Amino acid sequence: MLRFLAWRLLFLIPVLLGASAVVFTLIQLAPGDPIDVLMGVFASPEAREALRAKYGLNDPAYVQYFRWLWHILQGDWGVSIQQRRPVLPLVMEKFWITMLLTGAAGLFAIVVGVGAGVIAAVKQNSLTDRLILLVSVFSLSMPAYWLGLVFIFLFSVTLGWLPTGGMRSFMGEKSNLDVLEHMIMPGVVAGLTPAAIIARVARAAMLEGMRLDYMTALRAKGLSERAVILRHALRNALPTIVNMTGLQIGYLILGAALFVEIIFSWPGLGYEIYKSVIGRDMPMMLGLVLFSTIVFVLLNLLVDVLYRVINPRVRAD
Amino acid sequence: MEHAELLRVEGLKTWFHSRHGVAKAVDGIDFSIGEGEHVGLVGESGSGKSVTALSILRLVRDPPGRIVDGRILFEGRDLLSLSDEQMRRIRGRRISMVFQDPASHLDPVMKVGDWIAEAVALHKGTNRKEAIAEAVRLLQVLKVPSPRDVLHAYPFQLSGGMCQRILIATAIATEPVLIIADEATSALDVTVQASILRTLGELTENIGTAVLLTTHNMRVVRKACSRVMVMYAGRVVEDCRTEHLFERPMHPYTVGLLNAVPSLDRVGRPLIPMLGEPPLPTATPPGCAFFARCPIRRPICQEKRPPLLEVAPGRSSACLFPEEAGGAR
Repeated sequence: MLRFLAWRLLFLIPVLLGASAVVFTLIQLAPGDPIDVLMGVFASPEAREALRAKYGLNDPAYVQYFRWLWHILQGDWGVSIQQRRPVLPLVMEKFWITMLLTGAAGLFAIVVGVGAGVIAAVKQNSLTDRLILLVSVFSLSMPAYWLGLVFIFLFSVTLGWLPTGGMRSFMGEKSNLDVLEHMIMPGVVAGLTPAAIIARVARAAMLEGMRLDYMTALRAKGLSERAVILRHALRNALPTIVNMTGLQIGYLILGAALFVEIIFSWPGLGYEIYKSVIGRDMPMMLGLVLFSTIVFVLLNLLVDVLYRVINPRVRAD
Repeated sequence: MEHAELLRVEGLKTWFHSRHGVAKAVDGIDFSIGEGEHVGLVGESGSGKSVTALSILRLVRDPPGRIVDGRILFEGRDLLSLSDEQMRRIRGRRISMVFQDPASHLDPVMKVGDWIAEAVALHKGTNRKEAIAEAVRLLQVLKVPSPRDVLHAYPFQLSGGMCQRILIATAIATEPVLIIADEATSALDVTVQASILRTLGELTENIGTAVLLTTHNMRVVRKACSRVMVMYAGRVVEDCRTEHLFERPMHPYTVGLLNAVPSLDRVGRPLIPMLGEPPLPTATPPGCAFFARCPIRRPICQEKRPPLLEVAPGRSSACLFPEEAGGAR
């Protein structure tokens, strides 16, 4: 296990280097000039050139990349052009806000997804199974930004049950309950797609396990159906479910949160990426995307480790 | 040696419904097992042995399988009329089961010690620690070397014979009155087979447990059972004491089976393979199911299925002409 861990950690280095190069290149290729944003299109050519030289924007791309990488490694992630504050603390701050939303969405996805998957498998081909299939196909097909708008219209505008967006109310008490209330809708909207995917995978994994011979042996031991399903079939399906769940949570942080945060004005990484793209804030953009990438890669590592812990057949090599 | 009756199966029919029609896997089977008696149920693949075994514990998967008729009397109650909850309290406690292909009948991600302990804790109400201690004791009884190490292993780390010992330990943990061993030795090699049979025999002898052993192996029956039932196309066709069966079979199917098995008594004589195939379970003929393959058949055999009748003291046959079946061997 320790060897596996050391090996995987070592392997992270080339992965992260590659990812940083890709991130850097993509953002270089993106249209738009930060100088325009900073100085406006009416600034004099001399002033523009001076600023360009100051930020080193005239150097070849690879020089810029290695300079950037060197600074990154030293913990200097640059200064946000728009907010004129160091990028790293800003990103960390946004990261925790996104994690809060991802946590809520992930929890929703796991509870609903695994629950629906297990029920669908146990009641295979029944009306319940078909209904779960229908709902999951619907959740998979509806983009989060559309679903978000529908939810806002339904639950905030029409019914007035939940706030339309943001993380806290402008007025009134600043309690955690208030944050929770703001979290429900974006959490559910972001969690719906992963819930549907987890449900499909959980159902398939459960069905596969429930076909095996030892299920008969368990019943012959006198175990209740409940114990057979939850203690054994689900336990056997767990590695597959964990694998898919880890991936889905990763996508949540990187992708789903982006749309959902924008729709619900949730002040996290996604919302910040959106703002930095609009503002051509390159250091911020790079920092945000790189950070998300690191989180995604680490999360994958965590899932791989977890997979080995819960699956003795892989562990014994 | 007479045994008080423990289990009596009457007219049991377990059918499987599929697109291709109804497969009558078990089609009206009658037999009984006495207390502490070791009974063999032999027949070729597809004869309905395993379905019979599973039907007793009501473990046939439904759908596609269904027990459509019959009674299974056990300790004065008809198991088919019990609620699921009542049935659950019989499984593993009064009647336990050992399976063919033991490795695949254990939870692949559960340590085998926990597997045994689960049954112990469930039926004896002990806590986990006591249950594990009991599991160690059981493996010691089964003469498993270094039981503590074995308990920490997963099934895939153990041999087939060791997995079967785990299943047997689980089966005897609650000292049941009946153990159903469904092809329990068929997936093991001959030496392991012999040792497992011996162990199972000794242990059940000690605690007075009856055994129903299904197998396709005549040698296994001869070694382990005092009485044997021969099954063909979903019914018992012959039922008698083991030595009588080998001395003088009274059903042409039994004769065919014995002729096809090499034996030390008949060194130098060629084996005689049985011709033809058993009828498809979806299309059993109205008369004797063995008719198409029978060397002594007569037109009357086709009219209706011959019932299993007592043809001599203590032995039954479902052949209309048992005296002509094989004669003395």
